[in-house]
Amino acid sequence: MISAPSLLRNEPVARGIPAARRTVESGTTQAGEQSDHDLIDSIALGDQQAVSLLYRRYGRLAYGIALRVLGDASAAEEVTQDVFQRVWEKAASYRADKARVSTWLMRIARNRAIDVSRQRGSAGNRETAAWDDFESTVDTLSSDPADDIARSHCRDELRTALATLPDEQRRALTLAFFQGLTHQRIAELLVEPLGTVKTRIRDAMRKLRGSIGEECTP
Amino acid sequence: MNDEHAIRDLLPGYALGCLDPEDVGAVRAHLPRCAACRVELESYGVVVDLLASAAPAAEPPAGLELRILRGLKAPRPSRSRSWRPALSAMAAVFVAALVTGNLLQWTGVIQRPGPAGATPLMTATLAGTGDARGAYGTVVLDMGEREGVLAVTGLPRLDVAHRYQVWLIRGAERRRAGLFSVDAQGYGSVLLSVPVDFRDFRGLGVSVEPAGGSPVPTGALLMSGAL
Repeated sequence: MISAPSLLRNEPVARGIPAARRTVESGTTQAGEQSDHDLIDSIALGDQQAVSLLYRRYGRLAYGIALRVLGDASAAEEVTQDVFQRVWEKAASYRADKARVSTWLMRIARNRAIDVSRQRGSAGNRETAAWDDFESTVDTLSSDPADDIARSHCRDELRTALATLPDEQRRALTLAFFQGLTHQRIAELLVEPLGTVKTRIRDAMRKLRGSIGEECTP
Repeated sequence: MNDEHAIRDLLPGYALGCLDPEDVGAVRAHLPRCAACRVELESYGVVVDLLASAAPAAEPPAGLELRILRGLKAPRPSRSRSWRPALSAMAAVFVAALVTGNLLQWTGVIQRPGPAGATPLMTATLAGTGDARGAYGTVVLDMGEREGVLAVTGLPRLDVAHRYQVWLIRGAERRRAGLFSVDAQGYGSVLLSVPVDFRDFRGLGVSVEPAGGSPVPTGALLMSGAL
């Protein structure tokens, strides 16, 4: 017996089942386009075409994250498949009040890639992506018709802040973010004191947090 | 480590997932007691999410989309309009869960071929998700009489303060369609009121709501199916 709803499914933004007609969602959806929330709703109802559409929006980003973590195209492909399989399984329990669809997807991708990396024992054993890559990246996350300019601006602010981090902070942050390494492991790899690594990562994150405006928080 | 200042220093690493195990335990023990730390952790979570969204994309191998679609596993709500596969499993449910004389009429209509020109029936299945993964439901709708019945199996029994609520789904709209409870065996059924604009609706959902019902869904979607 369950005594209360185990999950709260808030829907702060009007969401709809895909249809050829226009969906009005607070004026953020263009005619004929479906928002990410629409697609998740459809996936929850078993619509595989919606999985296709979501893949076309975020497949490159999910694959890119996996590739950066794993450094192996074949493994990255498997992880990308895992990501969309998980979306297929969990669409009905997705909570819009917790995270955007894009955020949810990228969390799945990063976490799954790090898990695979750890299973393979390859975490920390290869050169990781350079944060410099971020500076030249075209904004790939504006595919959602319901996304807005502010979100894109937030990413730009973050990229700018990343570029200004001291090299040692950026290096430690890279290992933590893309490799999922612990403080201890990072300290071993960089041959640095544990306390130094903790401080660098903390300071880097605080700087990044300070660099983004209030409009970037949910 | 119980020092609150030290815990705050660990929050960025916790958000990144890079804390050593003993530090993870310390943060997890602290968070339920500290709203300020939870708020601060959320702010670092935003940074981590933006880092992910700002990561460089890469072109996947050709054909990956198709492989993903082909590989989708787990049973999904069926669009099948065939009543027959479910009838043998559900007939006992309907008979056991008779509420009004209309249901007797329903079972009679469904189990024998109708004459030409008879009111069309629409059927659909619902599958459980999340906490109700093993649940299964069948809905039959009489488009002429604008009545329907939903029968389910496998849903957990609820306490007296809650009931299952059925929703018709159309775009952003979630229209209330009925309330029901299940018995100790997980069986339940409910008569549905079918609105005149029913054909515009695309799906049905079931959620847990307060016993008196709710004007909008507040609980997780536990069952769903496409119409």
